[in-house]
This record gives sequence, C-alpha cells and structure tokens, in this order.
Amino acid sequence: MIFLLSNKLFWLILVFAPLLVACAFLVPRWRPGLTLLAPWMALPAFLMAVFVKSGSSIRIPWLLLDAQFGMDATAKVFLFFTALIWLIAGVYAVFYLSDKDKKSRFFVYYLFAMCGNIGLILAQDVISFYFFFALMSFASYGLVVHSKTKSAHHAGKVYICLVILGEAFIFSSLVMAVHLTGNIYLSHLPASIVGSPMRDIIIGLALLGFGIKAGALPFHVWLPLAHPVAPTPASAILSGSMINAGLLGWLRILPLGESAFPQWGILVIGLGLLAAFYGVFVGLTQSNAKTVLAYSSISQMGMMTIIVGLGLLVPDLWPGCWAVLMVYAAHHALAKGALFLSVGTAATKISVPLLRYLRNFGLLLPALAIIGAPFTSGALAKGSLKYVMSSVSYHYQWAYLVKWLISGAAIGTTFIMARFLWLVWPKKIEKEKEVSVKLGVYLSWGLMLGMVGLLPVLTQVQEFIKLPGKETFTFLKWSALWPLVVGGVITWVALTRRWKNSFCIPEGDVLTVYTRVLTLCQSAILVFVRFINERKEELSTSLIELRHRITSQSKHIDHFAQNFGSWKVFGVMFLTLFITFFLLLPFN
Amino acid sequence: MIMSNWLPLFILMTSFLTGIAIFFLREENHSTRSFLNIFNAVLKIFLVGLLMWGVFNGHVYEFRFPLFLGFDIVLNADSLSLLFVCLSAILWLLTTIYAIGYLKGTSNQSRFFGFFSLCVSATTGIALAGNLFTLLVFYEFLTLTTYPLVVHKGTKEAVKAGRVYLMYTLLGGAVLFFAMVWLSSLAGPADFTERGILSSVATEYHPQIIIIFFLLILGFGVKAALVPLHGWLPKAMVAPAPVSALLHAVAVVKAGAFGIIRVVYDLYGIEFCQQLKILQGLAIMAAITIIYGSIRALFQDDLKRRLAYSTVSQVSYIILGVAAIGPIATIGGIVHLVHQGIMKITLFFCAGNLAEGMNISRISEMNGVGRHMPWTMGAFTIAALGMIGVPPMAGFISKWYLGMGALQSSQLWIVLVLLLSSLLNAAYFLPIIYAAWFKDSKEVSFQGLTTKWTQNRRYLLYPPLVTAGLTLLMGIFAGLPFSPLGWVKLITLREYGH
Repeated sequence: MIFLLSNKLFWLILVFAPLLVACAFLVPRWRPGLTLLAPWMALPAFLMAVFVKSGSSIRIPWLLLDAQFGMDATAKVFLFFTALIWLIAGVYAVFYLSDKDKKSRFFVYYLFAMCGNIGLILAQDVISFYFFFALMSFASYGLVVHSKTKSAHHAGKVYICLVILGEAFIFSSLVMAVHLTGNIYLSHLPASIVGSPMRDIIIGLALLGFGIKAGALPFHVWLPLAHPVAPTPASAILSGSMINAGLLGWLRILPLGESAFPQWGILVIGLGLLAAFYGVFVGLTQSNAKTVLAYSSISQMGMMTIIVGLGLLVPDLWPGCWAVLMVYAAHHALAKGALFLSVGTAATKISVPLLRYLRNFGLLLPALAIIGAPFTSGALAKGSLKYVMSSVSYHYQWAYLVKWLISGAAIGTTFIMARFLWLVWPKKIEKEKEVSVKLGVYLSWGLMLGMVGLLPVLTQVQEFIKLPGKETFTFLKWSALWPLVVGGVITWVALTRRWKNSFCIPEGDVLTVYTRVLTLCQSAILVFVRFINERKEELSTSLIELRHRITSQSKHIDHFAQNFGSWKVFGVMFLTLFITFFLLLPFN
Repeated sequence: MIMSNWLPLFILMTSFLTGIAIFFLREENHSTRSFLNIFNAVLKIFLVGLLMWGVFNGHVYEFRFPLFLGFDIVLNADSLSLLFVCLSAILWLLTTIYAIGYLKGTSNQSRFFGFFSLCVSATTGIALAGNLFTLLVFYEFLTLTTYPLVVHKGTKEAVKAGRVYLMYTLLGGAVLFFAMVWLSSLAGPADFTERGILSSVATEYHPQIIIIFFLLILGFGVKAALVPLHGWLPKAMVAPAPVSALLHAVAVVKAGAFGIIRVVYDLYGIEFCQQLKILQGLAIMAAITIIYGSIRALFQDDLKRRLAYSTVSQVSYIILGVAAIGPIATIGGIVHLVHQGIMKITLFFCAGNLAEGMNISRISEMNGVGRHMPWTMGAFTIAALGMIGVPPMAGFISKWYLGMGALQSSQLWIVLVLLLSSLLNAAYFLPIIYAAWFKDSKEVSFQGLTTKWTQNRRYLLYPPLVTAGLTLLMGIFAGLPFSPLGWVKLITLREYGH
C-alpha cells in the first residue's frame, strides 16, 4: 500500500483513468462495453477515500506547473461522498438512459466531468485544482444540454455564462493568492493571505467565484434551470456532488480558522441565512419536482454557507465548524442525490403491494433526512450545527437569534420536502402515464438510499470526523422532531383546506431581472456601434468624394493613384529613400 | 570551429534556396516541388535542432558579413532567436504540408511556394538577426515576399487588400529605417546584446533616445497590428488559408512583436527602459489593442475576420508582457509568442478546412458542423479554449504568467485587462463551439463534403491535429525543461541576469 501511494503512476492512473476511457469512446465498436465500464471508474476513488489515510501525497514536477496530489482530512470526506454519488448515479444512468447514441455521448461528458470532480478533490496545488475545476465545469455543460430541448439550451447558456464569470473570479483570486504565497501549494495559501492588504480582494473574489458553483446568492440562478433539465442521474450528480466543489473551493482558499474577519463573517452568515429562506420561499412556488429540489439545494447550501461564515467570524471554533460542515456536506450530498434519483422511480407501476410500500418508504427516507428527522443523517448534521451555534453565542449575542432562524429554516425545509413529495407521489389518476423501469435503476437507487440511511452510523464507526462536544449522538434525539411536526401539521392543514397556490415565480427567479439589464446594456452598445458606423460611413463617403475631386483634376495624379500599389513605383520609391538615408549618414 | 559559425546561414539558406529553386520549376512539376519543400523543411528542423543543442551547451554561433560604414549583416543564435527560429521551422513544415493539399489543382503554385519559402527565410533572418540593421533588412524582405502571397488569388479584393498591406508595411518600414539611422548616429551601429546596449549613451541624448524608441515601436507596431496601426490585418484575410495561418502565427505579425521584444530587451535593455519610464506608454497601447481587438472580433460573422481581430488582440499579450516590467511578465509575454502561434495556426487551418470541406466561411453557417467534420472542429475547440485561457491548454500558461507578472510589478490594472479580455475571448469563441457541436443544422440541408476535401483529407487534417496536440502538450508538460515555458525561463534568466 505504501509502495503504491508513493508511486506516481498509481496516482496518475487513479486521477486520469476516466479521461482514458472517455478517449476510448472514439472507437465505435467499443462503445457498448465502455458505457458499462464508465461508472466503475469512480470505484477506485471511493475505495481510496475509505482505505487511504490522510497525509499521503505525491509531487509530479513535470505535470502542469509542478503538480501535487494528495489526501487530507477534507479530501477524504469529499472524495467519499463524491465518488459514491458518481458511481451510483452512473450505474443508474446505464439502465435509465435508453437511446444508444445519446448514451455514449452522455458517458463521454460524464467521464470528463468525473475526472474533473475527483481530480479537484485530490489536487494539492493551485494549478491542477483550477484545471480540474474548469474540466468539471465545462464538461458538465454537455450533461446540462443533453436532452437538446429548447429549455435545455437556455439553461446551458445561463450555466456556461456563469461558469465563465466564475472562472474569471477564481483565476484572479488564485493568481493574487499565489503571488502572496510565493508557491502554488494549496495548503500554504490561507495562512499567507491573512496578513496582506490584498486579502479582502482575494476573499471577495473567492467567495464570488466559488459561490457561483455552490449556488450562493445572488448567483444561484443557474441551479434551478440547469439541475432540472439534465437527465435524472446527471441532476443527482450536479446537485449532489458538483455543487460541493464550490464549497471545497472556499475551504481551500479562504483563511478559515487563521484569523477573525468579522465583516466577512457576518456578510457570509447573512447571505447564507437569506439563501436558506429564499430557496424555501421560491421553491414552494415551483411545480416541477426537480426544480423544487434545486431550490432546496440553494437553501441547504445556504446552511453550509453559514458554517463557512462562522469560520471567518470566530476562528477558534473552526475545528468544530469544520467537522459539522463535513457531516453536513456528506449528508446533503447523499440525501439530495437520492432525492433526485427518486424522481425517476416515483411514477412507476409496481404491482406487488409490499414492493410498492418499500418504494414509498424509499421516497420518504431522503426527504426525512433533509428535514432532519430523528435517526437520520440530517438530525446529526443539524444537531451539531446548533451545538456550534451555541458556542458562538458566547462570543456574539445575536447567535441565539441565528440559531432560532435555523430552526425556522428547518420548518421551511419540511414544507419544501412536502411540496416535493406531493409532486412526485404516485397518484392513481395518472395510471396510464406510468412507465416500467428497469431493475438496475431500482437497485442503484436502493443502494443510494442505503447509504443515506447508514451515513449517521458510518461517520461514527469510521471515525471520519470527530464532532465537537457530547453531541455525537444527536441524531437519536427526539427533540429534532419538532420542526418536522410543526411543518407537517401546517402542511396537512394546507392540504385539507385546499389552499390553492396561484402564485408562481419563474424558474431562475431574479434571472429575468439580470437578462433584462443585459439586454438593455446590449441595445445601448448596439446604438453606440450604429452611431459610430454612421459617422464612419459619412467620413468614408466624404473621403471618396475628395479623392474623386482630386483625381478628376489631374490625369497625372490619377495615373499615380492607380499605380501607387504597383511593384515598380513602390520599389523605386523605397530604394530612393533607402539610398538617400545612407548618403545622409556620414553627415551626422 | 569555423563550420559552426556558418550554421545560422545554412539554416537561412534552406528556405531561401528552396524558394529560388522552386521559381525555376515548371508549374506541373508537383512531385518535385513537394519533395523539395518537405525535404528542406525537415532538413531545416534538423539543423535548428543541431543549433539548439549547441546553444544549450554554451556554443556561440555568429556569422558576420561586413558591408559598409560599420554596418554588418550579422546572424547569430542566442536563446531568444532560437525560440523564434524553432517555431518558424516547425510551422513551416506543417504549413507546407497543409498548403500542398490546399492548393492542389489550382494555378500559379510555383509562384506561391517560391514566395512562401522566401517569406519563411525572411522570418528566419529576422529571428537570427544580430543587430538592428540586419533585422531591418530582413523585415523589409519579409514585406516584399508576403505581398505576392496576399494577392495570390488575384481577385480585385485581393489586389486591393495587397495594396493596403503594402502601404502600411512600407510606411512602417520607412519609419523604422529613419529611426535606425538616427539611432546609429547617436550610438553607432551596435549588435544586440542581452540586457541592452544603450544605457551608456550620454544623458543629454535621452530625449532623442525616447523619441527613437517610440518611432521603433511605431515601425514594428504596424506588423504587430497595434491599434491604430492594425487596419491592414483584417483586410489581408483574402489570402489563401495557409498564408493567413502563417501570417498570423509566425511570419508577419510575430515579426513585429519579435522586433519589439528585441528593441526592449537587447537594444535598450529592460533596466534602461525602466529608467527612461517608456514602458508604461507601451503597456497602455497594448492594453487598448487587446480590448479593442476583442470587441471588434465580437461583431464579425466572417470566421477568418473574427480570427484576424482575435490576433490583433492576442499578439498584444506579448507586448503587454514585455511592457509590464518584471521577469515573470517577461516569461508570460515571450512564451505567448510560441503559444499564440501554435493556437492561432490551428484555428486558421480549421477555418481553411471548413471552407474547403463544406464551403463555409461564416459563423452563422456553422450550425452542426461538428458532426460532419469532427476532427477539424475538435482541433478548433482545443485551440479556441486555449485562446480563452482554459487550463490545461497552452494559453492558460501564458495568462497565468502574465497575471503573476502584473502583480509582481504591482500593476493590478493589467490583471483586469487580462480578465476582461478572457471574458471577451469566451464571448466570441464559445458561440462558435456551441454552434458547431450543439446546434442542429436542420434548416440547412447537408450535401456532403466536397470531393476536394475527401481527396486531400490527410494533408488538410494532420497539420491542425498536430498543432492542436501541441497546444495541449505545451500546457500539460509546461513544467519540463524543454517545453517552451522552460526555454523562455532560460531566456528570461539571461535578460535579467539574476
């Protein structure tokens, strides 16, 4: 094992194997086999996350600008859930997608994006991190527009514009950070940013750049467009694992736990809280199940943003916050992945009653986990988040308020999950529409559900993460039940009273505002360009007139103008010039 | 070793004599001409390799031919000239292969290939020139040999474009000549030296030296297409695709940029430039060019015109890197000389392929072409992403070093210019990629690829694939000592001397 880990080839194969498989798709004969192979390219990474201890790393000086790969505590957690989601969603996709041509196209983008996602977790230097981040972002464009519908193209356009914007922000923050640090190792960045006058620019740019990927306000607009239009397994990947790449970016660059940045901390916590509520509020008005989930992701990422903000606010508490964040990220990724996968299995025909009940339980489980019901991973995540908030309240009085607001958001989460379940729940009326789904889809979905159920136990057994305080077994607490109960009761009342929701916000909410502003700018530019062109035309017509006047006056000039470009005239002129200068030279 | 001093001349002669010999070949003598072309191009690469090996091991190569009044023709091989020679040798071979396929079945091929080889020898001469006088001689030679290539098609539009080209470049040449004479009267004819030669000029002449500097920039700026001297470049797009490719990648535009590099580093010297405070103006000029070129590119529907404006913008990255004082910015600027060349030649090859294979020259006609010409569009995509600066393509390495260099010289505004430029690059390259791969071409019925394309597919396809591969490799293996980046680091070490 130690030999393997110190071997460069091992790491290279581990990281770049998906790319090789993707290239092999060039041979049409191999494609059917390769589509079966593709999901399993995530397995080595998953095994690594489980078995490799953090601390091992390797330098590859000839790759990019001195690349370094390695495993640390954060990478271990992220790799665990990321690889798992890629693997399960990939298997799901093998059975779920029908058209063969489209399938191999899907898996080419899938492999590229997977390579990027796994690579950016293992990257320990800025350049390879940025490379893998870009690879993932650009490759997942193919996943977003996979269905080639009009809405998919629209979503793709919004997505790629924000990717480009994000790349620009990330590039500049990384360049500045590396300039300050003097080397490109990620682990050195946060500490060297702290003392510099440029730190605020770097922090701001990093928050913006990675915030786009993490669906943070006000750049969340691509999420509710792109996540729903992608094929179901791709939605699970986008909302489950890729969204966390933004979070990882924050963890890698921001000086968390190094020094206190109260202004940034409060701003980030505020934005996180706002997102937590905003996602719920807009999500409730949606009528597409996947869009509801995308808004739920915005809300949940808001929760994680709050924890990042705590790290900026109270650096001493960062180790505890870090652990909570790890649990929260893993919990949300797996549960959200399972929820998206259930969209494909919900409206299907099952004749055996027992299996039908099992399926319905499967629809409920991840939703309960997201709400934070007792015995689920959500209870663990939210319980420990509240514990951390109590510690913060020793430093800042208002943290109590935030704690209560988080509970309020949990009630909102109950609403939004109820909304989702109401939308996907198998209804008798739609019997004709029911489709049969392959067994493999169910099995992979079941596997994901199993992981969601097991996560609270896994985090304890594996000792991945040491949660702060005595709250380790929070997920057993019955007190976690109250948001569920309150939310559930209100929902039940709403349903029985048939409160009709006539209020609907378009997908991507403020995007309409953005596009309107952009179109205004565009038309302003066009008016300006037209103005310039008109002036130019006027000028050129007057020039032509002038030329006509001159040429008509003298035949000699006319003759000259015609031959101006000819070889001889110019050659002679130039030679004369040349010789004159040389003759002048001695006089100088 | 006397022989070794002749090596630069041999390298020059490989393309020069090829050009002369081709003029004497009969038009229909295709195989001899192709053989001559390719044999000499390979021979040249071999000789350049020999030269590189020698320079790396510390040999000094200098060929000197005294003329009059102390003006000598000097060919010498230092690390900077080798970079440019190497680029031109490799791209000559690839472009020749491409041109053989591209021009098959057309007339006036002897004239074309003759001037083509002469043009490359002029570029080689510029690269190897050991003093300003030699540089200027070859610079003018380049103007005269590229003119017949620009007007090769013989159409009215081509002749008009050729005339514009000549007017710009000859006026530029005249300004350069004037500046050279003036400079020689102040400092005497002196060879290029690493870290400059003019710092010894007496202080009372400094105002004159500054004026001369800007005259030199003006002269070289015409070919480097600095705004507002760029007018000829988009017009010269009427030339056949291989000519545009070579023009933009290594021959004319790069000759201008290379001239500016020589002036700043080996004539004035970077420290002396800093002392005179003349680089700020150059940096601003480059920045304006970068932004202006990108904005103009946005509004072009003709693919080659869009690429032309993109060149206007990208070549000024080199100048910006030179003007933002500091070793890291220098690395970024000079390495972009190679990177931009490789990426841009790929784009032009691909544009030529689209025109040959499907008669497409406008971006609005490109919907769904990726399905019909996947390899061509694959190469195009790699190069275009490289231009935007997406890792791991070569363009990213340039952008990274330019950004770091700007910060090193505490000029934050240069980072902003870079960012704005990459956003604009994305805005005009991504729609092309999107149209080619993701849009459906339902409205246009596809009649199949032209017979010319299917017959010459190899000639036309391999060169862009090789250059696209190089774009990737130069980025991925940038850390290796013999990558362009590694070599440029060596050059920079010598220019800054620490």
